Amino acid sequence: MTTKSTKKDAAPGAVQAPPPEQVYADELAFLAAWDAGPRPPSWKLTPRAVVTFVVGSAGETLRTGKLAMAISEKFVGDRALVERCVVTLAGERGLLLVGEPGTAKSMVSELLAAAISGDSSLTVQGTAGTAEEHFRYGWNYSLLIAKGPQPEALVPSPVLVAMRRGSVARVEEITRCLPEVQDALVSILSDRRLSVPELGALEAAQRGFNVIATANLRDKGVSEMSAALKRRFNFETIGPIADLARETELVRRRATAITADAGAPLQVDDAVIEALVTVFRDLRTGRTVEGWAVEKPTSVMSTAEAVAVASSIGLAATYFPGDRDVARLVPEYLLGVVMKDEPRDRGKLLAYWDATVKRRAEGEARLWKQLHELRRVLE
Amino acid sequence: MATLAHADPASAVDVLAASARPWLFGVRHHSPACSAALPALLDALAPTAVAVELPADLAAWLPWLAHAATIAPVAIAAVSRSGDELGFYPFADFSPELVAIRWAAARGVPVHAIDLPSGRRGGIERGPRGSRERGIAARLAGDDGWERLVEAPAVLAEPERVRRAALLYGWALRLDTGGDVDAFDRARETVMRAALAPLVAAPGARVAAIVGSFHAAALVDGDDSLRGAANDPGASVDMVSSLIPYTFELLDARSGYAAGIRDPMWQQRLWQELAARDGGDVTGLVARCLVEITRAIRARGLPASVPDARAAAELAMSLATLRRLAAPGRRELIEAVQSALAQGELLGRGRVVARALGEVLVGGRRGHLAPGTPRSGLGPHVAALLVELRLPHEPMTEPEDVRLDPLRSRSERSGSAGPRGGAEGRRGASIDRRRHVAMCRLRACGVPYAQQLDSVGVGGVDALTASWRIRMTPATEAMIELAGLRGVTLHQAAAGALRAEHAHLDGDDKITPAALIALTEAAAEAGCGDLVEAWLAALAGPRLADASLGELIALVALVERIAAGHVVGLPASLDDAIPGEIDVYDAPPVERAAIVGAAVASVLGLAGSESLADARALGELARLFQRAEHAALGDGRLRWSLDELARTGTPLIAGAAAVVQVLIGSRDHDDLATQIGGWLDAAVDREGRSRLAHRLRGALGVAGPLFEAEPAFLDGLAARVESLDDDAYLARSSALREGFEVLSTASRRRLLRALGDRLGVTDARGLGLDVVTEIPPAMLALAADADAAGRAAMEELA
Repeated sequence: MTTKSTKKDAAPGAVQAPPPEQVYADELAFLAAWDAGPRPPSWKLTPRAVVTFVVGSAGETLRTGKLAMAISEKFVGDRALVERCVVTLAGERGLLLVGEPGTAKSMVSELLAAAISGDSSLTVQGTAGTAEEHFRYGWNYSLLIAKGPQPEALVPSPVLVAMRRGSVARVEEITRCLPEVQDALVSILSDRRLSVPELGALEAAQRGFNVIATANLRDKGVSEMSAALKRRFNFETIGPIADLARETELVRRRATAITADAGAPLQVDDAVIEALVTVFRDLRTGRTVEGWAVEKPTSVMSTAEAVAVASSIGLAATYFPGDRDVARLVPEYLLGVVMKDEPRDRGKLLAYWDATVKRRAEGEARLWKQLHELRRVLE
Repeated sequence: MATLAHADPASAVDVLAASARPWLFGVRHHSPACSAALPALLDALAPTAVAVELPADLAAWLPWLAHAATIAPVAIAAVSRSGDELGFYPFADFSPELVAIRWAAARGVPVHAIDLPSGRRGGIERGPRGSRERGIAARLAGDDGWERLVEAPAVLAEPERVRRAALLYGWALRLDTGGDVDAFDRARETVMRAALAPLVAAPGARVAAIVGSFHAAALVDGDDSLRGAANDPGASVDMVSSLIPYTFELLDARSGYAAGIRDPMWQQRLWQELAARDGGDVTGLVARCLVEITRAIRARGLPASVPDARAAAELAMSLATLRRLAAPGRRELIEAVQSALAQGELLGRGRVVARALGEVLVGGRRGHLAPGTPRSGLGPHVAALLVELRLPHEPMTEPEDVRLDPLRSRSERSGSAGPRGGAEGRRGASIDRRRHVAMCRLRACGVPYAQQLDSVGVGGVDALTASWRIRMTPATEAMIELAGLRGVTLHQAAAGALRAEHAHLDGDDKITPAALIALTEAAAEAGCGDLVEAWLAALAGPRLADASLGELIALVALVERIAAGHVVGLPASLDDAIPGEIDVYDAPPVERAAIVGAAVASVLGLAGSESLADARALGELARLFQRAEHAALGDGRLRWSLDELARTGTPLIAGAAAVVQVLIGSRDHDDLATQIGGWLDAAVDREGRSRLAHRLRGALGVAGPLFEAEPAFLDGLAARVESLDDDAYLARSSALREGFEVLSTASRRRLLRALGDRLGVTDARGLGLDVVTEIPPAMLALAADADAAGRAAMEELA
């Protein structure tokens, strides 16, 4: 699964997830005025402003003329990585974001497209059923039969639209497409032209056109990528958030936003969220914060899953208030995340409880004591 | 004007840069930017004396460092007579101190080594510097502060701007300590101030002090607000120092050696560009490096072509533009390589790219000493040591065998065998212990000198004595010279060689638990306690989950040997130590429970194994589990895993698991006996017989001694064998024989005796059922056939 978590913290509305160019329209307008330096062709913002848009202004209020604004932090991670992404998109290679599921690859790609082209909707959502026309073009068959091959009968793909406009096209989950379909991108990325033999035409990309693809190189059901296609991309690996405090903060923020949609404040202690994130990090890395070894379960333990658990607990506390102490829900939900398709993962979670949670419970922390007492939930 | 402690950055730098008594250049000890800027600054200043941050007792090496025929990298190693207090000072062309020393020597300006003498450094507490409050330095420049603040902007910059940036960084670091400078730094600064005082006081003196940027604020004239309390260190001990040729491979910070820097070849080439008269071409250097890297990737058989190099170069340059730098630096270069060439793979292609990167950026440059440089270091040390230990020290044609008794302490020896050697009566390591450790160390250094003959005693227990075959050849001396790069005593050189091997394996990602255990064992034998401690911590920590059961069992054994003081190089008692050579070792607390826990976790992984060693490891685990100290672990998981193995494992492992189940008491004897009988019954076809053989091998491999002690185990089997008719027996006999083959000769004999008791057959020789016959097998077969025919005839009659 991938995260589609571009929602701003408090923006309840009819649409579940409005695109970032809509959510952050004011920030984008401000940044366009803030940095008036040279821009690559067709770009709405300068590269520096794009970076600032994605990583935020670190609490600092930026000023230009009479306007002043602090840019919110959207991607929690390495600034240098975002700089490389932006620089790549201004160059002649595509950008491929790779990483474990749930590390905000799609979010970064949406933010970049929104900041650079003002439009994150030129998207191909890759699946095993994606066909070549999703990357090239299709036909309006009634028009085709009526009038024969005419430019009006051609239905452009999002990629072709982006080529005509000089925008950034996005390809989600490119490795889920079959390799021969993926390779439709090879010549588009190297020649920057798309031939339409039926019309005898050659569609040339406007300057500013580029492609952001996201991929998971190690999941089940993903295809190989050809060496030819790999060479057309610069690779950026997005890892999990390095810092416990920042991850905890992110989980709290997102869970708060989700429960706010349900019209209630988040009734989960910060300590519970921190403990939850700690467990996720321990199981994700195979090593606890104290340095003890842990067996990693096979399931995905990303920040996105931590958000899901925290908000589920929050919603449970909202909809069923007073039933139970929220901390008591933690082991149940954890088990739900950990035990997906491998029964042995339950054993690993138990072992984690017997070693790590037990040792923490031997310390002073009351919460860990409480969690340790809940071991039977896991059995 | 505000004092340094309260000034804003700009005025603080003004204060530091304006200091004239002495004039200050705060550097990092390896810095292309500072090294390139320094000559022009010194030319402009024309100092009458140059002071460098080098321990005062190493000043004798200054002329040799400055010698025109000395080719960097070289290093000064200093060690106390007792073998500890190691100081290590590597110099490369891009080390500002070396630049200053060379500049001064060329102009006849005297150079003074002003730092705390290496002999007075022992016993002063050292803390991490500037990491307590990472505020100002981080805010000024981010995480890789020095690179961002000083090195990256140095391209095409005025030398004075480089100096100011470096002073600013040192001031920020200083402020970040919050006035809490540790005792070691305060001692050094006290000594440096004392050394500078007479120099600056001389009439007409202009003194240039080239010191670490952190120390500049403590040496500035007229402002003592950031000084910290004076600290006068104790008396000096006598040090032995030597100048040795060094290599870029060792200078690389990842080699595990102190005082290194990342990617020395890159630094060297950057320095060459920066120091060029025309300001150099750093962008061109980045492009050249990228071309070399893609070539190195190609040479390893992976595609990486000119367009790839171009894409990477474009990325590096655009990043530099985005970051407002005049040219891309090392950081941009590495980011570009990762992004454009590694294709998101950590292994496979990623490894190859990392190797190519290392080849181009680390380099293999070697230093040379000027002819006539006093020879010191490892060679003379080893020669003296061999003489002292009365070991062969001249090349010889025939090897010589010695048998040592290294674990016996001196006092025992003098009681039993009488005095041997001149210094008896004095406490300390026996000469055999010292000999043994010296030979282990030579072996760890890769020096061909002595070979250990047998290391396992009777019955698999640790041997008490050790036999060595010594043969000194001309190659021995050559290899000692080479090992001398890594230290000036055998102890240091061995530790260095082991560390290098570790770094080497690590670089290739070949640090398997087995390899690390072997390294730790070698380090233990060579008496390198700190390495043992670090590696045991790694083994018992993050590496634990990767280890196989056999490796974990070996690890427990090693930990126990060390804790018991049974490793010759790591004596547990002061009586067996000799300070500086073989130190007393306090075994680190290793959590054995965690290792055993990991071993339990790895049990399931044996399901597919067909190796007898794995089966035996399972038995060892059960034995470990029976110890009282592991009682708290709880064996629920082990039982569950064993059930799983007994049901789903390969025949060999299933057989072993069945026995271990009895050992830990999760099933009883009779049950097992019945099951073993069942194995025999099931062996009706070829496949079944092969299963029988493997199950027996597994079971007996674990439980040899058990079967001997309690033949009731084999009751089931024996009862079935007895009831089989000859044909059925003969069909299974080869499988049975194969199964029982795992027993040692002695076990086999005891088993036969036990079986003899069961049948009431006694043998005069006490061999039980071990039938020795002189009759040829063919004759026996004929006789058996005749018997069978006779029996058939009888049955027909009946």
